[in-house]
Amino acid sequence: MSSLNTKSRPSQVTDHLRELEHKSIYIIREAYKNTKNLYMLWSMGKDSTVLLHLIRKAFLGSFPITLIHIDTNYKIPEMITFRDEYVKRHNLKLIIGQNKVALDNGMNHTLGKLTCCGALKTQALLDIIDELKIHGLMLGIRRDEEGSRGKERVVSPRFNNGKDWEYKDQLAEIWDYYNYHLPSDVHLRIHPILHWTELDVWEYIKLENLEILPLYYARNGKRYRSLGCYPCTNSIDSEATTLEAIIEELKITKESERAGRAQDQADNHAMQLLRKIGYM
Amino acid sequence: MNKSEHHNVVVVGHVDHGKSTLLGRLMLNSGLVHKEKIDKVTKICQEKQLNFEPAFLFDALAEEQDQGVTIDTTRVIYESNNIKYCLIDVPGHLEFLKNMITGASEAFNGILIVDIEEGIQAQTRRHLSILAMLGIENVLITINKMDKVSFNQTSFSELSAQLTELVKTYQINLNAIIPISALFDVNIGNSSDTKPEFTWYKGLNFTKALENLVLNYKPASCDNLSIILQDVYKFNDNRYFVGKVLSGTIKPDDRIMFFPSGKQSSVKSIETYPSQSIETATANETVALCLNDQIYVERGEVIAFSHAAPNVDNSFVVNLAWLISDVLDINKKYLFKIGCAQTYAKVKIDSSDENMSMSLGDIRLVTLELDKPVAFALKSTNSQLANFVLCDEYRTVACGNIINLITSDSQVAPKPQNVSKELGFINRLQRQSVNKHKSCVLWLTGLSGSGKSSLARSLEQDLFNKGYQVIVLDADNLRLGLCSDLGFTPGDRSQNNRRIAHVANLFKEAGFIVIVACISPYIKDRQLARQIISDDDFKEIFVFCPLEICQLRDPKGLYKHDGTANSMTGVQSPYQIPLNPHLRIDTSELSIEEEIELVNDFMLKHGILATKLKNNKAKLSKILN
Repeated sequence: MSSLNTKSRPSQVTDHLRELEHKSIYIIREAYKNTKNLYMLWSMGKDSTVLLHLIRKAFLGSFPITLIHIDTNYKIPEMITFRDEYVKRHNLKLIIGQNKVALDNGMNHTLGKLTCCGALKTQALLDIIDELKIHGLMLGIRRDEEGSRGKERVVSPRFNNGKDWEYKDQLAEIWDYYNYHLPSDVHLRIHPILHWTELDVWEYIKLENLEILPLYYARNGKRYRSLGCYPCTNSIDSEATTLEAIIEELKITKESERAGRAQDQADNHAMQLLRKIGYM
Repeated sequence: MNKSEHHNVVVVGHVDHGKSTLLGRLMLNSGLVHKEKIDKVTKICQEKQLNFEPAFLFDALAEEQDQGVTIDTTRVIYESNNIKYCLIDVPGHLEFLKNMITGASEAFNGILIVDIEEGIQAQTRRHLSILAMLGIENVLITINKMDKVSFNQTSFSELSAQLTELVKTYQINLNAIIPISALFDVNIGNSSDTKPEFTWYKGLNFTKALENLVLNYKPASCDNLSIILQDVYKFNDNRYFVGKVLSGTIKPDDRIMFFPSGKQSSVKSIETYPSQSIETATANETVALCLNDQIYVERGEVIAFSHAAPNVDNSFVVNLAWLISDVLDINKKYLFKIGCAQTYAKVKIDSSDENMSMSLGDIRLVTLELDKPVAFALKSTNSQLANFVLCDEYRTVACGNIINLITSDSQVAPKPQNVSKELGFINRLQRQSVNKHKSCVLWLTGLSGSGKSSLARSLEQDLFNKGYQVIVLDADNLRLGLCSDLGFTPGDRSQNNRRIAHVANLFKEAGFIVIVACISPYIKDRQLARQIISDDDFKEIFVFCPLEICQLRDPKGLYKHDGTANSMTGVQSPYQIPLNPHLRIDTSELSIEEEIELVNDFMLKHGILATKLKNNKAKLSKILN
């Protein structure tokens, strides 16, 4: 276990983060050039907030992208406050997607975690993709989050109006050549930080001094490591009240990032099942 | 490339030789795998009534676990002895070759795994040649499943010898060959207990060999600047030329040129957000350049220095790997992508070749013919600008590297049979002695409007008045007669060039000083002319003038017709600057008299002009007036 406490030279860590950053910026600029319209899915979580920052960097401080938030109505209230203040302060465009029909009919996690995710997240997302005719959608997912995301491409076509990820026969993605020549009605999921790890994200937040939801910092011995809907997201035991402490905690933890996310544990291949049909 | 703290390593090899198992074993031994992940794999294995399967840590898809096969690539961060790795798992089935290359194209180092019982198999060879193509030349071989042969030393030595021989046929540097059992954790490292049958082995364990592999890695680098242009943005009243530096370094004030267009400018600043201007940008970094000139260029151009220009051509020899089950159609045009440029390409296979197609997994040398020229580099320069892909509609069907230019030999019309050279009674030396001077060809190359024709005419008059046998061959004039059947495609330009070279050579043989005025934009065409005329007699004179001034001069009104004449050299069509001209004349700085004096001095120095025939300057200016 001692090997986990490796101290990399600070300059080496910075070089590594800059390399990740350059690759992400290249991907974002390719997406902007090669899609008819480009949106970004923002959950206010650490990953998509890093992505938001990278987009601002790619466009030299401008932000020619509209944000989309899928509001399940079960988000932790602090997330919504953070969202609205952030958007206002940075003068960003935000569109909120919500499956109102399902909510009116009383959808909630007690009806089945995967059913609830499918209705309030996947269906809400597919509806807004359809409504706005979204060609390219950037998301802050990473390979190291869980198995099915580990198999993702940077540019991942979703056939059948975004409802079908053909994960068994993905397109080749060689060197920096991404696949943008699909028929124009094929929805594209674009993953600019796919190659980052959870630790990279936190070290980058520190390097760039980014604003982040306070829910990630420990209060009364508990903090959130991954954020979602309050009925299905558990906080973890932690004393990490600073960025430095979070980074040190991650270097030694034996728990996985999404351990507190109930939907992941609902089936051996829950994420694969959800993501096949359009989940983020 | 490798300043990052992570070493990207891909594990390749034939189906079921143990790629995912080895990686799973490394991860388990490192203690880096999260508890839930192990619990989950344990649960899945119990449900399937299997022993714990380390491969499932990588083969996360349900279908992969059901069939015990890797379908798609993934990667994971691994750390051992203070070294961080990014381990890339790839499938071994030929059917999933596109996924194998998707993963391997991001690696710097390779591990080839071979099953001791099965030995060298089809994908063992294929994966080795793909590693060579991808430039992954630093490779470690591990022989797996040693438990199946009771750790027999002879079996290991025999297979090692075969593999050593095999590797020699590829451009690959073999680091070591290590025997292991990934499933039973033998000789992986971090474990002291060894099998009694295995005590003969005194070499490195796998983990140590892996460390040596990555620490030995020295990326082959390329110093020439090349930046691929992704897009041009206009934000906040600034115009940003954004792209990625593939190699070299760029700084503010650098004079840069775009290829293939030939447009030029200089760097005003390199911008970033939020920390504004930076002093330098280097390989693998994205950049946003502000330039000093208002120029119009589009995505796909390559930014370089004019003294270290990339190649520009619409045809070249490539090493091509075919990745899908549909076979190559040599009559079809495929979408060709290089850097950020794209055009359509046909694959040409030598008609003497028996197999006129390519199918899944084939790797061979072929020629590509593109619809329009692109900027590129050869693989031997270590530039990433040698790497390209071919797509059929949206599917990437092939990838490869550009290996070679189309040699000038292949452009010379084939030698007719049953024709032999008839020699006359009078040779060139006799003619030269009558003329009292040597003959040669002064080949004036440069953009339209650079001043080739003006210089050629004045020089001709000067030399004629001094008593020299001299003639001008102006490419435009030849297009009125001898070359009136030719247009302005790269192929026609080459043909035009070849005919001029032959005519020039005849005059040279007749004892003349021949002044050729011809744009001759391509390096390979000028090389061909040099070959036809002979090295000693061909004098390349680069008539230089900045494009903006050429456009202002525009003596033939060609630049004005930008929109219609869509193959204008330096605008839509490339001009490849001579790398080592005999003489470079900057017509934006010199008067015509000074230009003539430069050429005369050059010819005197090379013994073409005799000193006694040289006239004085007064007479020269009289002629010109």
